[in-house]
Amino acid sequence: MDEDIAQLALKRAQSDYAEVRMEELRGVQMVIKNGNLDVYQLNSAYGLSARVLADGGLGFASTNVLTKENVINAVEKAEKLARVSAVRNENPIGLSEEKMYTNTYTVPQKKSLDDVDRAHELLVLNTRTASENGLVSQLYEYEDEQRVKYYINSEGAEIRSTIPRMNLLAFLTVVENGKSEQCQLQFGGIGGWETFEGFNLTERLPKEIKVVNRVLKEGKPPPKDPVNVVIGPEVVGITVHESCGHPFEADRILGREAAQAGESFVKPDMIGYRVGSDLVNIAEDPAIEGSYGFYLYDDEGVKARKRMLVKEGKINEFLSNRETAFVLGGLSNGSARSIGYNREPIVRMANTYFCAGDYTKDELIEETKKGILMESFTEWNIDDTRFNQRYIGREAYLIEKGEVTSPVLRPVLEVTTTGFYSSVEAVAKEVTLNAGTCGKGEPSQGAPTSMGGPYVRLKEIRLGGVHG
Amino acid sequence: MDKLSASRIVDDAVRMGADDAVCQVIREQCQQVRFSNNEITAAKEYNSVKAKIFVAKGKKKAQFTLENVKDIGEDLKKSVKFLDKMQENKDYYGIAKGPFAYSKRICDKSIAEADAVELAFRAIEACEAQRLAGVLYTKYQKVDLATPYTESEDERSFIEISVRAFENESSGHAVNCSSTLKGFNGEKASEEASDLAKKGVSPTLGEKGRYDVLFTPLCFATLFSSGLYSLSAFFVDSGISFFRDKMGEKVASELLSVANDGTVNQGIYTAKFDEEGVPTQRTPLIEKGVLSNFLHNTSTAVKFETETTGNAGLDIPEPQNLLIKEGGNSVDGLIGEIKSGLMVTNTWYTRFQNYMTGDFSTIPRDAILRIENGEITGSVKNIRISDNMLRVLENIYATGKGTEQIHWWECEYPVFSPYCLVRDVTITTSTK
Repeated sequence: MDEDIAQLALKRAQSDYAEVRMEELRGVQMVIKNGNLDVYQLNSAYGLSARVLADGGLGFASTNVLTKENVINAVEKAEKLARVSAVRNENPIGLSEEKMYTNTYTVPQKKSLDDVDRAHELLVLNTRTASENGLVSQLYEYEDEQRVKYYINSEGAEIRSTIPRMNLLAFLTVVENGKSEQCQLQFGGIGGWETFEGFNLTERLPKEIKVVNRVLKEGKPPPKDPVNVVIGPEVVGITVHESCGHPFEADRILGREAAQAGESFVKPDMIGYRVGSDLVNIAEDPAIEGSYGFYLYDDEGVKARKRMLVKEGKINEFLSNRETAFVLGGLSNGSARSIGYNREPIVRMANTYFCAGDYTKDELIEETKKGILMESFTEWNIDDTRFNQRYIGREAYLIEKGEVTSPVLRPVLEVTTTGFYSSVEAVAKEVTLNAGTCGKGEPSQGAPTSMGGPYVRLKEIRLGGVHG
Repeated sequence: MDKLSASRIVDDAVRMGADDAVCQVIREQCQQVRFSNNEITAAKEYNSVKAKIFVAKGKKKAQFTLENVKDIGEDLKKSVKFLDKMQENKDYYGIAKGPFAYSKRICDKSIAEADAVELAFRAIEACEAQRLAGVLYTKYQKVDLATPYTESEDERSFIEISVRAFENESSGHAVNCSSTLKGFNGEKASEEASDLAKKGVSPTLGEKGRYDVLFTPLCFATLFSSGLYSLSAFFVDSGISFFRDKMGEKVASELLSVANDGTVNQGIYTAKFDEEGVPTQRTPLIEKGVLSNFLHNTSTAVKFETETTGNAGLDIPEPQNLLIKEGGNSVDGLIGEIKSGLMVTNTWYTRFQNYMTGDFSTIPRDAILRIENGEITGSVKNIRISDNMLRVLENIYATGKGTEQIHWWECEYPVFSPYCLVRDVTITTSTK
């Protein structure tokens, strides 16, 4: 990577603030469709962007033609755009004052991705899974990247990072007794091929197919009266991601994403506002070692740290970058992320989780006279203020007199955010994280994140739903 | 960098041992202006030069995208060599052989130099609601394509704006998409969004049930686009399309006719050729409710024993512009048809419970207007459409006169859609 050209760009900046981010990426993308290698793509990217603050306006320009002339043009263009766009703004854009760092970090690969025939490995996985009863379709989308990033800004930050990352989306369709069900499973992590091996897919995928097959064969309709609902880490994870992480993003709260991903039911003055029972504690932490959303410094050079979004049921902290922190009057908590050199950094989640309680999973179930256990989900969505959400169970069971009994077909958890968190009455000890790709931004920036938590019990939920 | 030659790269690939090769050199200039709360939050420009290269040997194929052209010779050599050790793709049947005759088309290059910031300001100033948020985007692209069988170049450009106006608790969304700068009208989008925001003020909580729903063009296009995968032969072949095994059968109301058209002048994704160099065309997909074609590239066409529709995606066929046929009804006439129902003006977060069956839910956002006895009587909020895509298409019972081109954050491909009135749509709400 030619760091000199990035430094040249920064030196030429004449604005109040400037940053240059240069990235080089190499990776592979594959699609295996029913045992056939349908797509094999070698991806690469190499370029830089300049983001500047001038006269209260924010300008951004990117290029992959890394000649001196071009990068200087990019800086000048970003400055011009910033100044022109600021002319009619009543509220100048600013950045919070932050400590800046110089550092270099690398996520190591024990088994180099480049040394592994990844297509072969995926085809083997397909073959081993193919014989499962009821499985009619397998679609695997695999992607990995080795991203080298060089970030500098006019306030002295200089961060170098190298992060290898991989992601597999398994899309499995099971048909039994004329009924079909689909599993969409995502596995993601950082590091080398050893991380992928750790997903243990040759055991997990067949198990998942057996579960779905059984639900289709034996699944009973969900109870109609309100019942207690025990949800597993996968469901807890998607819920905290959608209905806590997203609405706590300060750019949404301030309306910056209004025309795309929407705004938030949370308003700037709601720190301390109760959203759930005392048992609700939700954290965000980019620095979890090995996590899919891992980073140590964000894309504004701010050091990553753990954020407590909800403490004992009350809003404690938003996710902020320097721009939103300037407006809200605080400091950035290192939430600025960009998925490529040609995208502006915006407020994002990293690894979001419901914090541990003191129950065991068995205790949560034993105390339930009538209820359901929802281990996983398929369809989900949430409104654009993040208040009305829905998760449809994939693997779910009845709980009767403290015991897990028959499978339940497609229970629908369709609740408000405060309805959900105020129903939390018991929380288990062991936190599990799952990978997910978070969508936000325009142009779209699908960001690697993880989400999870322990088993959680909700009291008195009326299940909704029409499918099935 | 600008000396990159698509034909030379293809010649080199063939010389190195590839049977087939496709190279697209894409030079792109984009501007984007983002705004919210009536102020510009970021103004951006993206410039890039990329080479997208496809190589195949027998049944083996691979693609790569190259941004660092210093490495191009070495990368090409490695990729062609890599084919020898990689696995076969039994569904690969080569690329289109040509020769082809290409129609001339006009590209409005002035879009590349448009004053995007000024155009965004004008849209903000035209807002008649309390506040406006949105994005204005311009794109100019020059594509040089070469294969062993054909060579051509194309220039493509479009300008679009997507705005959301807010009035107290209510909001309205509108877009304006154009292939020419002259045809673009950001102020109009701003006014339309403002009008909807004002109509939707003071919403009450919606109630679950079955409703007749009038989808605006923005909303129907957005919903329809989420099911487009089902029309791509790749996903049909994967077994997960809700149109699988239904070719020639009735899959929708006879009022629904849909075509893909890569040639229509106004279409913002109109192109001279697809990724194999095949001239784009108009392909009927659903005719009077009957499924008539899927989208194909050469390989899927061979597998399905038909002809390519000029929709390569070298790996996965994809649409250019989707055209839904208009009906003859005025908007007032459509509203007048409804005894008890809703006008849904936008939706997002459409997710399928089952891609194969088309079971889905989606969340209406922005103004949701209540209609009683043929009149708009108020607005509602906090509802979800939980239904089945085939059932929705089957239950279309009236369509509006005229179509609007829709493309925005939640509508990946441009869809020209009329107003669509659908009977008995299932609405659910949160239970706690």
